[in-house]
Amino acid sequence: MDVRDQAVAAERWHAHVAELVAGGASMLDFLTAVDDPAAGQVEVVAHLVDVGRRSRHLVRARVDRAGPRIDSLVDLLPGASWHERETHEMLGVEFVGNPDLRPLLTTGGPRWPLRRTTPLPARLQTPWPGAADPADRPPPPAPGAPAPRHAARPRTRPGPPGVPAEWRQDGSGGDGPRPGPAADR
Amino acid sequence: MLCVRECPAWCISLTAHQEVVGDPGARRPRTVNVLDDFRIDWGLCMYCGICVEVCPFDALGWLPDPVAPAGRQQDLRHGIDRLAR
Repeated sequence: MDVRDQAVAAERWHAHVAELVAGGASMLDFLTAVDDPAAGQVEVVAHLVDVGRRSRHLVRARVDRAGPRIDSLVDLLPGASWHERETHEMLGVEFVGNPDLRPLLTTGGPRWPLRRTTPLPARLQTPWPGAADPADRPPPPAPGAPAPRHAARPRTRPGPPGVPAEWRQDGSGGDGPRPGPAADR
Repeated sequence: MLCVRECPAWCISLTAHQEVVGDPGARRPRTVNVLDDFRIDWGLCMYCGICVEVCPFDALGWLPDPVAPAGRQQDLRHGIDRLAR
């Protein structure tokens, strides 16, 4: 199924989705948002499917991160209600026109957990299994072999992918030097 | 080790040690990594497949069988004896 990726201005969000729904893309697959702190924005994303024509539409709109607001789609797609509730609790996006933005999934815990600036307690405290790399320790010298002339140079330790260094308590992290991508297969 | 580092759910853990192979008296003895334990926690795994893609030795692959259910969370941590085919 081919997918059409469309970026629209936030003011055009409702009108654009209305056109797509009227044109046949009336099945809402998901509605969510992606945090982009570097750009100071949150990108709201909706995936609509035209089942008859076997086509998909990925619609994106960027809103200001400091007070993200966008039109609700519940009048066009009633099923969007729960998607908007989840996006609201996970990223703090306000959906204007949705009368019910109660939390859907969370019961306490950090506010807006899917924002990239929200430290997640489990990521801070859990020891990362990738920290203990046997390649960082030199092998024991073989019996009878002369001691190595220079001490093994420790590599810069990369941390878990996607976790900022300032969250980690063991000094690792920050997406340091990473292994190259796997060969094209 | 790449699978352990790249897994977004941190569900893989392994322990290994290094052994000298070949001529131990050589000026620069060769060493290899030897696997001691390899464990996947299926309760954390997201089935994203990043570990399979990233392994440079193609040591991991998909199987069609679902993971067997277990009564306790620790029984979902499978070692190499249950994983290896």
